[in-house]
Amino acid sequence: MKSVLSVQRFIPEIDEAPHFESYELDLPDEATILDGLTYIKENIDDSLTFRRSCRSAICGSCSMVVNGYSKLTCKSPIAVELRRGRDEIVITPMRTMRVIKDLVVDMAPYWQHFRDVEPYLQPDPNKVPGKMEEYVVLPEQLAPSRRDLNCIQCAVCYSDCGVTEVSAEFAGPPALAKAHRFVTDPRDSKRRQRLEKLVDLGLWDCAHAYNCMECPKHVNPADAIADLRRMSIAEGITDNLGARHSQAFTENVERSGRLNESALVPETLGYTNISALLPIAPQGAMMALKGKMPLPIFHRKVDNYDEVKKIYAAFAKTSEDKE
Amino acid sequence: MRAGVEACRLADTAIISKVHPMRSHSGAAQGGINAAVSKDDSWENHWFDTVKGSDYLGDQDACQVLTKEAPEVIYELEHMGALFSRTADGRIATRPFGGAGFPRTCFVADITGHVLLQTLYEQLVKHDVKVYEEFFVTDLVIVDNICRGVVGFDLTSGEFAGIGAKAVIIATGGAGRVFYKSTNALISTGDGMALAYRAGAPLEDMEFVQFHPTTLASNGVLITEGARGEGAYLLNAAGERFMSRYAPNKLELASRDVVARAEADEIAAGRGVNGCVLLDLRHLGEARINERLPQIRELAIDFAGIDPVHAPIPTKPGAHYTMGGVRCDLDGLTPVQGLYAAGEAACVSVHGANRLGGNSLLETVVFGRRAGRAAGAWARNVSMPAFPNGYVRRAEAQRERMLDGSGTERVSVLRNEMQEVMNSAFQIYRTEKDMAAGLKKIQALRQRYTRVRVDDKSRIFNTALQEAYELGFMLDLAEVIGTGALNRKESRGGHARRDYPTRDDSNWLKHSLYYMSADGHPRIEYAPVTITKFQPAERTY
Repeated sequence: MKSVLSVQRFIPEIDEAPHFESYELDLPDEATILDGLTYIKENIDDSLTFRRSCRSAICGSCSMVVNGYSKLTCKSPIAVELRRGRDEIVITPMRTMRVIKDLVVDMAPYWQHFRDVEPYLQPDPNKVPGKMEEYVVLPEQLAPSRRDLNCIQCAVCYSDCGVTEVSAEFAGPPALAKAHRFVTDPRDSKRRQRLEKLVDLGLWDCAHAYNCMECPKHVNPADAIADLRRMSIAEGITDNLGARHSQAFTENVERSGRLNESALVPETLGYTNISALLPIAPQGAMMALKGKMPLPIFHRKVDNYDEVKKIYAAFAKTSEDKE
Repeated sequence: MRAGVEACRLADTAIISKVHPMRSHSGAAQGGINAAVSKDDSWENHWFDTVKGSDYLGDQDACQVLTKEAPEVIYELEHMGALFSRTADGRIATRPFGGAGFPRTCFVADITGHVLLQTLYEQLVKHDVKVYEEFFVTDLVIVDNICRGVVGFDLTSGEFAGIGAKAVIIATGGAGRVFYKSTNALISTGDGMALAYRAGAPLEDMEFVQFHPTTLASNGVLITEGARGEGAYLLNAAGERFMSRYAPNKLELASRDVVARAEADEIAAGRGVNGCVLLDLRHLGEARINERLPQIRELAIDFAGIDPVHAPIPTKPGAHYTMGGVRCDLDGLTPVQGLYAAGEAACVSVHGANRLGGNSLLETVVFGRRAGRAAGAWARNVSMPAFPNGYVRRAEAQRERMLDGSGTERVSVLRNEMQEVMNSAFQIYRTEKDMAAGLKKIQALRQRYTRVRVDDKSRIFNTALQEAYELGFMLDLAEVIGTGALNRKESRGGHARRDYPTRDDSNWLKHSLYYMSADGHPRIEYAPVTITKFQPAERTY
């Protein structure tokens, strides 16, 4: 199988800026991107630098960006990339982290986010079982965190997350999935404190791009983030913009069956919250002038509004069952 | 990490690792960890199974500690946070494993090692243990039989440093990469074993290498014994469950050396399928496979193009585990003052000539805890030994030699040749003629290694340089394995010789010790096996 790998190179002691080098390869049909890079390192240029270890998608070392998407290269076959009809397979380092050399990035910020969520069990000291027994945990109580445990900290989702890219404060998908693993652990005693802290760490900053649903280990952090948000509202942790926006949105749609956009912002911030509303008032006025914002008073109910009521009632029942 | 968590309660502790701790190879352990946690089981049964599995070469006092402390360390891991799979009434579940008389393997689906690795890393974060990540150790500093620390370089900066210590615990894993298509990660290059050996500490029983019965043909990736524990069959080309002819009672769940040899015999007799046998999970059903073996299903799909729900997986034996290691006592203490070892890097010895599946993770936590405790206590009671001058400068000078461009031998070429020699001469079945020729080739490769060449001249994150060091370590260990295998004239556990096909207790019921002699080659000594309760008997499954 012939292929061309175009690899971003950067050796800080030699190169002023990153550049690309192309390598023409002829490898067995089942070869992965990592096999390709390894072939280059062993046979063409030993200075090509990347992390790797297990070759079987369990150590999380070999994440890179392949043709624009972050991937674990050990489980990404060259043949699959070729079928996408590209002449070259372009390999670059992961995003949002500083490049140290070639395809190696500095993961220190990533691990700091990991530490921020207090990623260890914090049981009630009075409820720890004796030295020779375990906590009783029913199989169904394991289910909520089962996917979180699969996380190998490969940072693929972290690299592809648009919010992580623009905000150093956002904990990022993997740290939130890690937090979800402990929030849902029946042995942990800090559920509420954890949820409160997660709000400060950006729980409501996720902008639903769902890039993290392309997880090589099926952890799918966006689901964990949605679940954490739901739990934090259920815990009554609502004194924050994210929760208020979510609640305002829900109530807003419930009234008419469709979103009354003009009302959403003041409902989120609070009609009496003048100091927050005032700075955005000119923008609202400009939008109204350009016809981008219908006046709230003309908002009317959708046809078949009864159906909307039924949907809300069904959801209310489901969440009661969940709690 | 288990040692670090223990030692940090007693002394100022740091972990030095050439990779981030979460990248460690323990994460690849799939099937589980053994402990007699059921009231219908007993640690004494586990003790006996371990001794029998070791082909009576395991030290019985060590096997006793391993099995007796097993339930306690399982509960301790559970209290730390490990979410073991549960029974319907919420207790830790167990599954059958090879060579065990009772289903006593605790597990987290088929990602047990990965979850235990997470749990221990979480504890490091909790206790704020300092970690030197991506720091590569090139030398262990031992003077006057006292360990004084290590010398190495930070991969990111390329800067050398000496790190003085009152105690050093080697927990660097196995040397599976000495072989071609090993189940081991590319980082499993036996660094700690080689460092200790070069610095004067003895290695023990290095001739015993475990070949795992079920690895993928394409790249050697592991398919857990837990698959057979859950009920999978091994079939030959005729569709026969051939294990009935080799181990009529335990069938697929005989100990690993027995199953691996049976597979090799079937393949050699022309009853294989493209050099493999077939691992058949189909009768378990999709729901059970998804619940208990989800990673295996995905690995088979990704790396063999086979969905085990619908078709059997072709597998074959592959190098998997180093039974030998740095000789140490029940507290991990080596014959060198202040130097400890634990886990696959160590030889206590609990595995003897053949390790039972599910006992390796157990060894890391039982003896990691003991070594951490002992090293921490030692460090509290002694003053810091002097760190000798010149070690760092010498290590730097050696690196410059490797980078100066005068070398002629490429790392990848030497490494491939070494792996091919080891795979052909020191495989499941061994003979005098093959091994003698193989050992000569390994010694020649060590000679050529003195002229090793690294083209990457940069200091920052030089993984080519790192691979050159690792190759040096592996070649030293390959010579020890080869020398030991050629020397041991019997068949026992993982060491099976065509020319000496039976176990010989009158001459060989003893441990081999390997010291690096002044000429750089291994010198062999022997040590008695500790036998306390179980007299050596014939081993059948």
